[in-house]
Amino acid sequence: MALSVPYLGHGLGLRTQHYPQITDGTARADWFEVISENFMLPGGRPLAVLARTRELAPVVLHGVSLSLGSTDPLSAVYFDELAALARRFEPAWISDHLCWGSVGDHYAHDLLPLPFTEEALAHVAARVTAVQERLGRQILVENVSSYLTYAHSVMPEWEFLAGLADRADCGILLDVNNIYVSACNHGFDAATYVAAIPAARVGQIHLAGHTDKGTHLLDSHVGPVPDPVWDLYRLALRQCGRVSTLVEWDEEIPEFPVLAAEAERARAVEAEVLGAYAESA
Amino acid sequence: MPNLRELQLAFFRALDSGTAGTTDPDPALLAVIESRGALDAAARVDVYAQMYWMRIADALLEDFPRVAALVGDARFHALARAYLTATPSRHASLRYVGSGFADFLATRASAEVPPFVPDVARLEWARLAVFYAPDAAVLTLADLQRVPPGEWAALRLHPVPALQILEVRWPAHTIWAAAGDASDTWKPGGTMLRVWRDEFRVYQSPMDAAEIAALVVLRARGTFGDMCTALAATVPAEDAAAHAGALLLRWIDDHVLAAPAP
Ligand SMILES: [Fe+2]
Repeated sequence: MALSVPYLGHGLGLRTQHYPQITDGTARADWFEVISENFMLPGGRPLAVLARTRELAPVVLHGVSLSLGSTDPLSAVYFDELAALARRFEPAWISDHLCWGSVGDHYAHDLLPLPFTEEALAHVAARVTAVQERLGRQILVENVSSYLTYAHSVMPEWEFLAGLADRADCGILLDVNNIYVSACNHGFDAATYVAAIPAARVGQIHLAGHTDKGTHLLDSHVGPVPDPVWDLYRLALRQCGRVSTLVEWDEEIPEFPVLAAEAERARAVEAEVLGAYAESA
Repeated sequence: MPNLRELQLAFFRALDSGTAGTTDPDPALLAVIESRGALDAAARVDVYAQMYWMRIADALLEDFPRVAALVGDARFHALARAYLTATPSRHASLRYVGSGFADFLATRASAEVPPFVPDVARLEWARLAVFYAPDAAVLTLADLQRVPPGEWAALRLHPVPALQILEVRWPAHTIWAAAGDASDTWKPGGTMLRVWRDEFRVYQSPMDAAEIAALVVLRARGTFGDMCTALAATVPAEDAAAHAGALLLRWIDDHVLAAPAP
């Protein structure tokens, strides 16, 4: 089955600092991405803000704790909460990460790396399939930044991700900053990674900044998107055509216009790479 | 070679030991993690252990800013570490990570944690519960004016979900308002606090005996008549109805009573 997610243009994250300007309509984006878990609440301001935002623009739900790679059973409570959000806010799509984040009923609240083994691939593919059946829709799975690799991995990450998309019939949220960070941390070629991704599966692209910690690059989501990440974005666009794109900026969050300018830069890069194709669409 | 389950359990144990200040990974875990460049396998696990601990410490700091101000940043971090080791997160959302923090602080009350701090923590937690409580339509004066005189005694009024009653042994509301003044001049003084929200702002105030008695009746699904009876125990009997009326007006003003079911 083909991937069916719409092209929404250039989105931004819905963050507390910008609630007032977003709800009064002065801060705009083509669409907004929200962290699903931050809205798994009984009531109060965040849900009211999301309801208002949804009136103004399309919304997508981006999860961080589905824990697709975990060996714990999928959490029924989590599903109920995610399904309730999806019913209420009708997201254009739902995404989460290629990682694990909980085990033994304990949550790390982090995106922990999986070994790229046949065992892990079969496990994650079965989980993604179960999630999609439960939600009644395809999900997008995002590659994460990592700071370690496992000696017993038998394939590169890109082969694992492409294999997962094929086996589970899911989409890919391609985070080109994460590719860059992991490529630097583990000494692989970022362009090789992008080239191995099946274009038709990519439903969204993430751009972000990172921080050089000396010993490794950290996926900090701070600051403007660095040049090598823009270069990878160009590469991904040449390969995939136009894809809904979102700039992540989650630390030292600036005034909204600074974020919006970053999204506009992504739009300009898209136009530069895809030229007439983007213009005519 | 650990299977995926064994790998994850060992990895999580390493994160957990990192919260105690010493990442101490299982040799079987280290054996399958590659060393590269400046970072060996243990250092790589430690990158994750540090992030695990910092992210949750930041969440606790966001949820308990007045507690942090009272004990100081360094002590708050030490307490948060000890709490996380004792109580790993059991919910997908960081919203609930501090659910046991006040009780944990109560076990540490000593020179390290001034005795009023656990009550301030409970107040901060109650404020969050109120902030994120289910939304509900509120009772208005017009709703009450529609009640026929003969039906008042049997009238049932319900508090909205965004109302918490908190029993404290220290004047937590005063200490909370003094934001970070950890002076030891605070004196114990038991009281019941009402915590509520109006729109999306959270408030708290101590209740007098009459308000406590009346609210207890409403929370137990009693009637307006029951409420007047309860009030008669705290105010002169002939004033009970007037007192009950004044309380209703105050509660309507504060948006703490729910609209009647349609
Ligand atoms: Fe991302």
